[in-house]
Amino acid sequence: MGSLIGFGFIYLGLLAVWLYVLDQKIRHGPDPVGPASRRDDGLLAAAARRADHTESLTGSEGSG
Amino acid sequence: MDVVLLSRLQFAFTIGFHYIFPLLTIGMGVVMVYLEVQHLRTGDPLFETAARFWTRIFALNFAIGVATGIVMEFQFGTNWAVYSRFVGDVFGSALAAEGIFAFFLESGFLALLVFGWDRISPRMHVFATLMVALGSVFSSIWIVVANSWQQTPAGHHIVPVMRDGQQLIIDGTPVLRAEIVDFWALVFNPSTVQRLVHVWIGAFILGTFFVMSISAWYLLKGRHVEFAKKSFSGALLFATIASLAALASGHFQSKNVYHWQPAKLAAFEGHYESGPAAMSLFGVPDDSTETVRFNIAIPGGLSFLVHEDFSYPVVGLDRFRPEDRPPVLVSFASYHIMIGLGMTFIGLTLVASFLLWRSRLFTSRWLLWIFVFAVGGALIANELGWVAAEVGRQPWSVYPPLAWTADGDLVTGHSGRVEYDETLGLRTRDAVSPSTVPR
Repeated sequence: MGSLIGFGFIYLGLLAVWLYVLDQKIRHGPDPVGPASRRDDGLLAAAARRADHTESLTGSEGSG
Repeated sequence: MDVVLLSRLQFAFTIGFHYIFPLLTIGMGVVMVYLEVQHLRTGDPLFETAARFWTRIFALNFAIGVATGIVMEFQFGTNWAVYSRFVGDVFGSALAAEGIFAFFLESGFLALLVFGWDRISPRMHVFATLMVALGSVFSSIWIVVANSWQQTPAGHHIVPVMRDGQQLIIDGTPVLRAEIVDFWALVFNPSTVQRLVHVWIGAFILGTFFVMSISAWYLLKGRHVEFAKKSFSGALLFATIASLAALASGHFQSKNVYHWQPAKLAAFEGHYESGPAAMSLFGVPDDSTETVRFNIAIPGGLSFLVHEDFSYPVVGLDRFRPEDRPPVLVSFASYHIMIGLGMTFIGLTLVASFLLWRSRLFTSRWLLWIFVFAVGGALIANELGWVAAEVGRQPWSVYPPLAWTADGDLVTGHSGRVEYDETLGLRTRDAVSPSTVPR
């Protein structure tokens, strides 16, 4: 019974996280995309930009 | 409370929660691929807007699915140690294949899918989306293979567990385990393909209803209207096809269940006495009288379902010893509610498709409100499908093989009852960790 309660708490926590984040994303809604928002230069070019450190995949660049 | 029942409840609770997320990712993957291909084909930025939005939701579902899956696996050790020892060789192979062939594919391309929008070409992004969608589908293959082996074991033999060169014996009983002898016979065991197709269809229904639910909400609130119309229309196309396909898949699935697990189908239908069988539409099975109370049934319907003959005899629960029968009430209720919901989805999607064709769907607010909440029905239907499959498998963790005569009847023993080869089946009670079972 103890493990059932323990697993219950863990899964209820995960359910709460899922519902909260889902609600936030639905409230925020889609971001409009312009027709020229995307690059068309392929995977190798994207990898080269990563090697150059010219941009970050996570958008968290510039800290160092 | 009984430790076996507690262990079952815990596993049912955790797997039931985890099960939501793989289904959502499989179902949403199809919609995302559709939206991205449409964007590539038409250049309409609205398709990209929709694909980006659903990708964020997909990533959330994927993350929660991974978290719930990891936690769940601990129970194989805490509650089901004997089961794990018995099936470890079989399950280990299938779960390892899931990790190597599916999870790595899905996880690897997920990074490109989520973070690559403005960094790789649209074609490469479509490819990444396709790989993620395929990864989630491949993942389901190996999980269903492992589960189907429990239902219809094949490709293995039973060997004694050895310790220091000696056969391991506990309380005077030799300890046994299943060992793979034919990997592909295991993979393509008699129920894998049918069950896999049914699971995929269920996943497509849930994923598309999830997309339609959120889209319908936006339409009713007048927010992101064009985006919501695109998403709803795309999801409706797949939902309609999947709902109709579920009917056909369910039919073949039932026939397969009858052949390999006749006690399970008898429990699904509350069919206690062998003979020509009706198909119950509603009722409450009563084990004490071995009847279905308040029964509304199609005469000969089950016989027709199984044998295409309204008067052909169908094996009933009377051919099984009481201790070999699954719980009838839960099996019956979960199976019938699932089918009822499936029929509702067919009606809903056909009405919505008709109204879309007549350009009246997005002004039919009553229907949009139904779709906001219908995702709950899709979720319940999928969960109940698993409840029916797993409760119907009881009292076995690994189902023993059955034999049929050339005349299409079950092989029975001297008592007129089915004789199992006990070494090939594993009862649920015997599969629980011995340390948790009071002696």
